[in-house]
Order: sequence, then structure tokens, then C-alpha cells
Amino acid sequence: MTEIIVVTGLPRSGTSLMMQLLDAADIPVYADDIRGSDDNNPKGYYESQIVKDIAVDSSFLQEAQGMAIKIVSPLMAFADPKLSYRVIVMRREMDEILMSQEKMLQKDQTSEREKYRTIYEFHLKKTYGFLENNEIPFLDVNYSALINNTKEEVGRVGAFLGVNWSKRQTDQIIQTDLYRNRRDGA
Amino acid sequence: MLLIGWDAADWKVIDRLMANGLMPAMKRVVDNGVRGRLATLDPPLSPMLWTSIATGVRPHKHGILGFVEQDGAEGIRPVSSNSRKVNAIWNMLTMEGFKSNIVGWWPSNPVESINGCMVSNLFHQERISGEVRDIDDWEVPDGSVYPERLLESLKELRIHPEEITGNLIMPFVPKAIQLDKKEDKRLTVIQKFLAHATTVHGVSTELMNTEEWDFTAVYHDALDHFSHAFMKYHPPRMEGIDEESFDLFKDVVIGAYVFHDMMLERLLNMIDENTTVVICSDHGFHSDHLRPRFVPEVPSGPAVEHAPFGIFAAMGPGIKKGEHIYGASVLDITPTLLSLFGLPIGKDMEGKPLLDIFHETKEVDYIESWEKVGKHGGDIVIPESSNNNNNAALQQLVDLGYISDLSISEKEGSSDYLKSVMRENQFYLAKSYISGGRFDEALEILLEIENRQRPDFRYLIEIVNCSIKTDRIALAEEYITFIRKEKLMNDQYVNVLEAQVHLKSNRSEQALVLLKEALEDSPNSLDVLIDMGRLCNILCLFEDAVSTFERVTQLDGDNAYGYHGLGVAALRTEKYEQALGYFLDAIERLYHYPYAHFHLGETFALMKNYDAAIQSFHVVEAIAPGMPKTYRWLLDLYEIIGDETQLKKYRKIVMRHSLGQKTIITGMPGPKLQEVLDYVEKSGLEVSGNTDDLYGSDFDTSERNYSDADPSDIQFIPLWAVGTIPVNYSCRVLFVNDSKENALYYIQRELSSENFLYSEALISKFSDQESFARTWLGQQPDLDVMYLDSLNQMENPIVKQYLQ
Repeated sequence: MTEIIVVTGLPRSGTSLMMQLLDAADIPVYADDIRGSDDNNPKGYYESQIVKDIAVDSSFLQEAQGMAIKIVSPLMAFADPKLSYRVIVMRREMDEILMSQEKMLQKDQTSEREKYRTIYEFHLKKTYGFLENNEIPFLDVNYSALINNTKEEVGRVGAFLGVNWSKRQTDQIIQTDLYRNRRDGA
Repeated sequence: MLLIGWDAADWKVIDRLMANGLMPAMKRVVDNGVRGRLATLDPPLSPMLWTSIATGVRPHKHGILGFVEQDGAEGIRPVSSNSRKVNAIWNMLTMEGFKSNIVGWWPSNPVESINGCMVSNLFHQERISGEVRDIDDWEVPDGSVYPERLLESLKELRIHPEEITGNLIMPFVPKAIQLDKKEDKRLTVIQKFLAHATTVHGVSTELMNTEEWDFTAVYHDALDHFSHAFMKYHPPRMEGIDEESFDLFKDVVIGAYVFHDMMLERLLNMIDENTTVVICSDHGFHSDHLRPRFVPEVPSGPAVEHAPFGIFAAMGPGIKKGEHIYGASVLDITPTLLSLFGLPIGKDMEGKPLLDIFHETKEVDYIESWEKVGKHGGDIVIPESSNNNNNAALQQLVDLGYISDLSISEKEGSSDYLKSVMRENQFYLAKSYISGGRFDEALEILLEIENRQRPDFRYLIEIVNCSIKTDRIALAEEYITFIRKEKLMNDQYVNVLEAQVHLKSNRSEQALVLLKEALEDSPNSLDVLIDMGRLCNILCLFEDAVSTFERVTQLDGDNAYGYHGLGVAALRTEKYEQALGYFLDAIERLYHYPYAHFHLGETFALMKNYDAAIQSFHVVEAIAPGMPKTYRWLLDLYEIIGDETQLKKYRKIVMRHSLGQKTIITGMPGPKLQEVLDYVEKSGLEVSGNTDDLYGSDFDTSERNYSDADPSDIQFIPLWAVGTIPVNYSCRVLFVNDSKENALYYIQRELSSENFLYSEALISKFSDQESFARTWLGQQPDLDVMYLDSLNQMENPIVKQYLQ
């Protein structure tokens, strides 16, 4: 298989969680161990440092063929459009993303929330623009739905990628305590 | 074809000098050709503008952003031809086999292997590695001359500033002898730019004499430099300029223009009557009371002295004589040159050929893009210019105040400096997007470059403006809070910004308060006055609007927005003749002003001069095809005059724009509104909505799609619900004016009150509702609103069209 499975989305929108699911389904993961696990992502980040330089050099994607790779938005727009992809776009309520990022950075950015909200809107727009312009198949997965309605959401992802998970596998991964920053009542 | 570029040349100065017989060559061109004002682009920075002139596209397309660029390593260099992403006119002419001489164009280093000759903008630099070279140790910078065979002969034509002696300076500064040359560097400026201009002129005449050519383009930057250095001494004496300096330097700008006229005369004498001459400038330069009192200490701060219109003049076979043209922009030069050569215009060009200059109608061909022609247009002769050249030209940009001092940057660290320079270029890119109406793209860039630790008020202002334009009110408010908290700007300036946010949020009363405060602080600020006048027009405070816009036109007799504002006030108060005059005044000053043409069309229509109205709306259609309500007007007007062919055409367009024919009737819930509704119903037309409940107690706003769902074409909506009119379903609105007291009386009677009770609370409520409704309606670009004062107006054919 030469298709690259890309998990994209804004930072703190559940991209690492989705990578865990793909890992559990025995899909080979393109990642290094440079950024290990921490309190914010107890199961690790599933990232590759080389992805950060994708705007300059995207040749590493050749090696990621047949594998799953995490490329956060908006870096996805720098991927080589000549390669073949299947993309999962992780979505999460913007306020939750912003709060989660602030917590991770241990920084009060309430006075800049609108700024980051707008920047992220642009990032997503750019990502979707890239996917649509290059006719790349993609699936939106909502983080909250994945946590609260795991079976159905995992089923959708499985159908999109042609893989299956056992309930035990998904239960192990989806731990509701990860969902710490959700808004009250959300 | 001879194209002469004079950076910063301005008609205000030229007209005075021509009238006094001091620019006879220019007068010859103007008398025997056409003239007009050339609208600049924002930001008005020369390398960006001259590249737009040479390509027909805005900076975000051509790639020249600012004065410097990254040199591929860790450094910067003056902006070069390497950054240009599209073909310039000389490349297009090369593709078609025409021979060109290009001299001094900014930026044109390194030169390109075109069909013809190129001498770059670095050719005449005498400063190398930050040091002024002596005349006998003066290299020619790399990449300055193409073809190389010309290098040795052209080199000899260079004039070094040392060669500009006292005698040559005397015509500019007759009392130069009184100055201590060592102490006063102002004479050095004259020496330097006189030398540069003389070199450019010498090279141009040499190439025109010795080389075959179809096209010669000569660019002089001297007027801009002379103006930045000496316009402050130009008569009348500015406040803050001491009498002695004024007396010494008051003739420098005049001398510079006269000197350019002498060079022009020489060029005109070298060509025959079959050669077309075009003279243009990239922007103007304030020479009167609009000269700024201080230049902000920010990168490109001196650009505040630039005026928004440059010059355009053309003379030659097939070109009209002694006439004015209107509506030209720097983007139009390349399309016009192509049409003069009989070549097609790229559909991707943002300018248009100035066909008004020709006696006879000219056929114009179009191609998809000159980027796709696939012929060889010339290559850059060396990939990178040497560092020596870079330092020289960079220092010049520092001297001019366009970039920061390099010695400071070295202290800061080159990496930080590089970042700050690149950040500034991104700002110019954002400004270019704004100038092209692409606010989302601009905002995306601005938010990325904005740094809370090192805030730059220019970036923040544009962020707020773009947020308002893209309906991101919360973002605008967040930035205003930040600006206020950090005290980054004068309070009054922030008030103006915040007033815009209030206006966009339909909080007109708050906007009014802030603008009044700003005006108390800066009673002569044109921007504030224009904002205030517009708000008064929106709120139907027409007397205030008139006095405000009159103040604008008193301060700046060329301000198109001032005349337009006066026109709107006159139109809304049914003074149609007056309105007509004002809109024509506005158009004469700024042709590319769709709203002035649109309101002119409305005025003609209301005066029942339908043919003239149609013409005006056709102009709007041509210059702003994205204004859907123009098509509705054309549809109505062609229906009135009974032109079936055009009617079909515009019906199709209206359908394509998904514009409905829904008409909304609303207004102050008083007897006049009731009369209008009764009149419509008695005419046999069905009005949906509860017309017995003018106050709208039972109106349900939760039905967001009520207009789509309702089969009726005419709908009554209560005043307080005007903001719920769905703008995606294009509506035409008849707004019935009435006094709040009439409404109060009417509502009390409807509620069966036995005695009339004056209720301040209800009056205040009506006032708020009316203010909100007017503000909201005033800001919906796709809604047509007609205000009615009496039932008589229902007989107007235009109103009847609304109800058809």
C-alpha cells in the first residue's frame, strides 16, 4: 500500500489520540521518540521532528507511504500533492482547544483568545483548501464525539480506513480523563 | 514608444510651473496629448509601485515587497529582479520581437537578457561597502548592464557627485555660498541625486542614439528624493520651518522639476512624430497645506508625505489632444502600453488599457496570461548580486529613512534584524491584499506577524480594520482592549478605531460619542471628519452630515469622499440637482469610485433621467462587477424604458446572482407607515406579515427563513426586527419615516388608551430601534433602501418598480 494515512488537526484537538488508535490497529506509525510522553499526552505524541520542516523539505513523505503520520494543521498544506493520502481531520471545540493549549503552555492567553481562534480558523481553512483542491479523501472526526460516542466514531474511522478495532482495544485507549479541558456542559 | 517615469511627480507642482512658463516641455506634451491623475496603490512604496507599473499587477502577485529582500542566506539586500514573480513589459516585448532600452527601473538589478539593453538601478551608485568611492576608484556594480558589450562605453557616462560643483548647485540654492558645506549635509543630497539623474539621462540618450529600439523606458527617482529632502522648504513656508532655511532652500523642488523638464525636452527632441510618449509617476507628493507636520519614526515612515495621485500624460499618433482622462491607476500602464503595441492584455492583469486616450475606438485582444505564452522573455544575467552592491544600496535606503540603521541591526544581531525586515515585508504584502479587497488573506498575515512583546501600532490598526471588514467584531474588540491597555496610540485615534467597531455592531450612538471626542481633539482630521459625516448620513442627521463634509472639502478641495458625502445628504433630502453636482465633483476627482457612480445613477433615476441613470449603472457594472444591486437597478430601468433585449439580459444576471424580488416595508410604527401599507394593499398587492400590528408585538424572529418560506413578494417587518432581514436573500427595503411622537400617539391609540400619555421610555425605545435599524441598513452592501417621507412618493416609478 502506498497511501499515506495522515492525522491532522489543530494542536490539542486529539491528533495523538487518533494516532494511538491507528497504532493499536497495527498500522505502522511514522514517528520518532524525540518528544516523549508527559502529563499532557500520557501516551506520547506520536510525532516526528522532521515534519516541522515540511515547508522546506517534504521528501520524508516517500518513506511514510503505507504508514500513518501526524501532520498538524496547517503543515498539511505543504505535503507533496503528487503522493496518495487518506486524511483524518481531528476537530474539537475551539474554546476547548485554546484552554487546553493554555494549560499545556502554562500561560494565560485569555487576552489573546480571539487572535488564536482566528489564526486557527485560517489554518483549518488552509488545510481543507489543500485537501479539496487536490481531491484527497478525508474524514472529519470530532474529539468530543470520539470520547462520548466511541463505538460509532471508531466505526466511521474503521470504514474510512478499512480497519477494525476490538472494544477492548478502544476502551483502553479512550480514557475519558484525557478530556480534561472540555467546557462545562459541553 | 518612450515611457518616462518620474518618481513622486505631482500635478500640483507641475501645473504651477507650467503656468509660469517653467516647464515648457511638459506643457508641450500636455497641450498635444492627454493628461490625467494616476491613482497609486497602498502602500505607496516606490519599488512595489514601479513593478506594478511595469507588470499590471499588484505587489502580492508580482512579489516585490518593500525595499529589501532576503539574500538567500542570513542577510538582506536591496530588493532585486530576483524577487519578481511575473513578466514585466520588457519581457513581453522581448517575447514578441520588439527591442527595448530599459534604464534605471526600480528594481532592475541584476539586469535581464532581453531583446535590447538594460541598465539597472544600481548602475549609478557611488557608495560601495558603505563608503563613498572616489571618482577614480569607482566600479560598476555587478549585474548593472546588459549586454556586456555596452559596459565600457556606458561606464564613461556616469557622473560622480564630486563632479556636481557649486555652479551646478546654484540654480537650486542660489545662496549656497552662505552655507558651511562641511556642517550642512543638505547640499550633498542635491549633489548626489543630481549626479544620479544626470547619469540616467546620459545613458538613456546614448542608448536612444546608438541602439535600435521600439520601446525605451527611463526611470528617474530624483524628484522623490528632492521632495523628501526639500518639500518642507517649498513655499508657502510651513509652520516650524525657520525663515533662514526657508529662504535658502525654497527653490530646490522647483529647480528639480525644471531640471526634469530640461531632460524631457532633450528626449522629446530626439524622437519623431511617430513616437508615442508616456510620462507617469507612481504617486504624488504633498506640496501644500496637506504636507504632514512630522514624519513617523517607523519603517517607510517618509511615505506619509506621498500624495495618493501621481501623474499621467501621453502624446503621440492616434492620441487625443489637450484632453483630460479620468480613472487611471498605476496598474493601467502596462495594459495601455500593450494596447499601443497592438499586443494582447493578460486577463490576469489587474489594470485596464486606458482606451480614452485614443481618438478612435481601439480593439483590444486578451490572452489568459503572459505567464503562459511560452516564449523566451529574457533571463536574469547573474543569479545573485554581490554583497558590495548590497551594502551600498542598503545604506542609501537607511539614509532615506526607509529601513532601520544597519549599525543598530548589527548590535541587535543579524538574525533578529533579518526577521524584523522580513516581518515588515509581510506587512506590505498584507497591505497589498487590503488594497485589493482581500481582507482574509491580509488578516491571516497580520496575525502571524503581530508580536505582543514588540507591538507595532501600524499592524494593530490594520488588524482592527480587517477584523471589521470581515465581521470579526470580537477580534477587533480584543485588539482595541490591548491597544488601550498598553497605551500604544493616542486615545483619540483609538476612539476612531473603536467607533468603527461600534458602527459595525450597529451601536451608532456609542460611535457618535467617540467620533465627537476624536473631533474635539483633532478638528481637522480628514479621516475622522469623513467617518463622522458618513455616520451622520446613516443616521439621517443630514444637516450635521453637510456641515461635516463641507469641512472636509474646505480642508482638501480634492477630496472625493467629501463631495460624495455631500451628494448622499442632498440625495436623501431630495435635492437632486445638488446631489448630481456633488457626485460629478466626486467622480471628477476619483473616477474609480463605484459608490459615487452608483449614487449618481440613483439620482438620475429619481429625476426620471433613465438613460443617464443606465449609463451610470453601467459604469458601476464595469468597475465594481461585484455589486449585485447594480443589476437590479439596470433591470428596473430597462423595464421602465421598455428595452426587452436588455431586460432579458439583466433578468438572467439577477437570477444568476440569486437576487430575489422581495420587497420589505418597514419604518417608524406611525400613521405614515399605516398609510403606505394601506396604499399597497388597496393597489391589489398582497402584503404578508401582520399589518395590523405595526409595533410587531407578535412578530416571530425565530423564523429565520421567513422571507424564503413566504410566497408573497412584499413583506411587512416591524422596525425593531429590521436586523433580521436575511441579507443572503437580497431584499429591497422601503423605509417609511415618521416622527417618534406620531408613532407614540399611534401606538397608544391602537392599544385603546383613552388618554394620550407622553412616555419618555417609549420615545427612547423608538429612538434606539430607529438608530439600530438605520445603522444596520446603512451597512448592508447588497440591500437597496429607499426612504419615504410621504405617500406621494409611492407614485414615483422607481418605487412602483420596487412593488412590482
